[in-house]
Amino acid sequence: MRWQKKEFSVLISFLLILMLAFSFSCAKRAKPVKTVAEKPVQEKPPAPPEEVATEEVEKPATAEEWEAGKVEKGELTVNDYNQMAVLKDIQFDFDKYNIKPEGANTLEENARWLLANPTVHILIEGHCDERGTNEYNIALGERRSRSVSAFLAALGVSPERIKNISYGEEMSLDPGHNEIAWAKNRRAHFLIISK
Amino acid sequence: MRIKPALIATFALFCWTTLFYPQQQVPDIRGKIYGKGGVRINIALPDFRPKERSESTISAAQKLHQVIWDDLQFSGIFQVVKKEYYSLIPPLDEKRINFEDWASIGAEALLEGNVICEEEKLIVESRLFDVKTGKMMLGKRYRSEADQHRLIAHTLADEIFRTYTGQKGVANTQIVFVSDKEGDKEIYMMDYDGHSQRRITYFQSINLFPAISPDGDAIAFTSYLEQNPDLYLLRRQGGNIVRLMANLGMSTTPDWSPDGKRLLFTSSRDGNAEIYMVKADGSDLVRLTRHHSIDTSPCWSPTSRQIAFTSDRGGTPQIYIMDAEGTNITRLTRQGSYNDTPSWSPDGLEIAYASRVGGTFDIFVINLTTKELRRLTINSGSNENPCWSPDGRHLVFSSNRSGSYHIYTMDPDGSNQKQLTTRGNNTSPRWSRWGE
Repeated sequence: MRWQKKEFSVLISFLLILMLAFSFSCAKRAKPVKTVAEKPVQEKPPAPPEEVATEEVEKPATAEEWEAGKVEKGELTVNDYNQMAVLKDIQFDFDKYNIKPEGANTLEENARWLLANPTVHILIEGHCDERGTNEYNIALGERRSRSVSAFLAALGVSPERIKNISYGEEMSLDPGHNEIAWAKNRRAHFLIISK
Repeated sequence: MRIKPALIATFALFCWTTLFYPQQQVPDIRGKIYGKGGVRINIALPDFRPKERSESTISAAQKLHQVIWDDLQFSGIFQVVKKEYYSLIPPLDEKRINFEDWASIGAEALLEGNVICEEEKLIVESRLFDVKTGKMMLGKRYRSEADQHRLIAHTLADEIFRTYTGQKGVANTQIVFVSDKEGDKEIYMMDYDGHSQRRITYFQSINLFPAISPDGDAIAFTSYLEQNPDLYLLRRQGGNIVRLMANLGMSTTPDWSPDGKRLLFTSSRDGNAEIYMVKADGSDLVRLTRHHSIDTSPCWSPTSRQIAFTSDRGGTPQIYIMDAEGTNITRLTRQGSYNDTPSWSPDGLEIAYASRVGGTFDIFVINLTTKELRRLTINSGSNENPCWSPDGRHLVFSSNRSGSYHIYTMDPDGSNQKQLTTRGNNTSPRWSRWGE
């Protein structure tokens, strides 16, 4: 998933997140226990987070390792692919859905990967910055998603492997209210949905 | 879910006109235009009398009086005479009203009432007088459950409004909107004055563009419940939820036909955002626009003969009008680089919309005959999603002037802007029609 992309590139932050996730899930488990019965809490104290973290964490492969053939393709799950961000986002200009030159380069790379992995199915999410109306933006996000599809199709990626969705301005990558944030948010994002 | 229509029906059974006084003919006032920049009628509203000294009765009398006061002041045709003036004249003696006293503080109309709580029931009697002639123009007696004082007050306020205008008032109407105050963007409803806010959906997904049917029974909206922006229909009676359009591209921005039988909406099912019309049961789908640009935000005219919508076929998003069959497409807005979300006024003469000025939006109204523009908001954050009240005397819209998005109402000249919501971000308001 999108929000995990950066975190997982670094092992340390991954560990941290798992630790956090673990402590969160413990807190969650403890909640019903507190109100219903108090015994289970005392019987089964939570294990120290560090211990569990070292047990469960496996270092996620980086895109580079994958490229270098260090990781067997079969080992990778759909989630791994998405965490590695093997398919890169592209950005759009304000109120535009045409593919910019730098976007075209990225899409060519993405297309190469998709052609090398012919069983992979993807979802292309179209996103907008916050400045337009919700009504128009959701249609604009759709246009962005579909213009990326058309570009990939022209490079030989079968349209049957592609689904489109627009989130309009509903899922900002950067919550800021400035040009830097807006530029980041005007994007097409790739999600691998099956391999 | 609370079912308001049922309540109203039950309550209506207990409401009848009193015969204490012979009903008089309304003075000849209908030729005048009240509100919309016209003259407001000065109405005096002395406290409602509790008929017994119990706490529940006293409190009900106070609350009821306040709601009627707010309703009348909001209606746009009344100016409620200020409280401090009432102490300048002898207190009201309802058996022998001295109309000269009331005339002396500028009152043209006088509303008096009394309240009693009996066996969990609230009973309210109220009479409206023309101060000049001393004639009673309205006499009403209402009975309801003890906690329904707002319903009685709104109903009485609408009766008073109707006495002067011959038209229905909006005091019992509802506003549907989107709010993230409990996490996800869910659909909510509230009374027109912002009271009784209640959550309608518990989808835990993104929900957008709610539109309430003219009979008030159904809400159409877009939801990502099934990981795709699909069109849903929620029937309030029985809480029945139907996914009208499933996985056919995106299905967004529904708008009900004035007869409540059809919906306009935007869909990308054929590859590009176009306007479609469909029966409320999902049958008889008709595609209305055919253009490679984005067409969205359809809105029916009050006669349902025409449709306003947004299209960027001219290079930027602008408001267009077409016939209900999709023919005769003409561009309406010529000013501004980004115009969207048209709302057709109930009298058919104007369209309100949001227009981008600098980095934010403001609400404009365009006269369909003269094409003259009227700007309703300025220098107050981004103001979006205007929607007319069913009587055309008010607009509801959303604004982020306070830092987060909230729902506001205003008059069609931009005056009397009033904030209705206070928590979270609240957007996409739609004012209900009158219902049955």
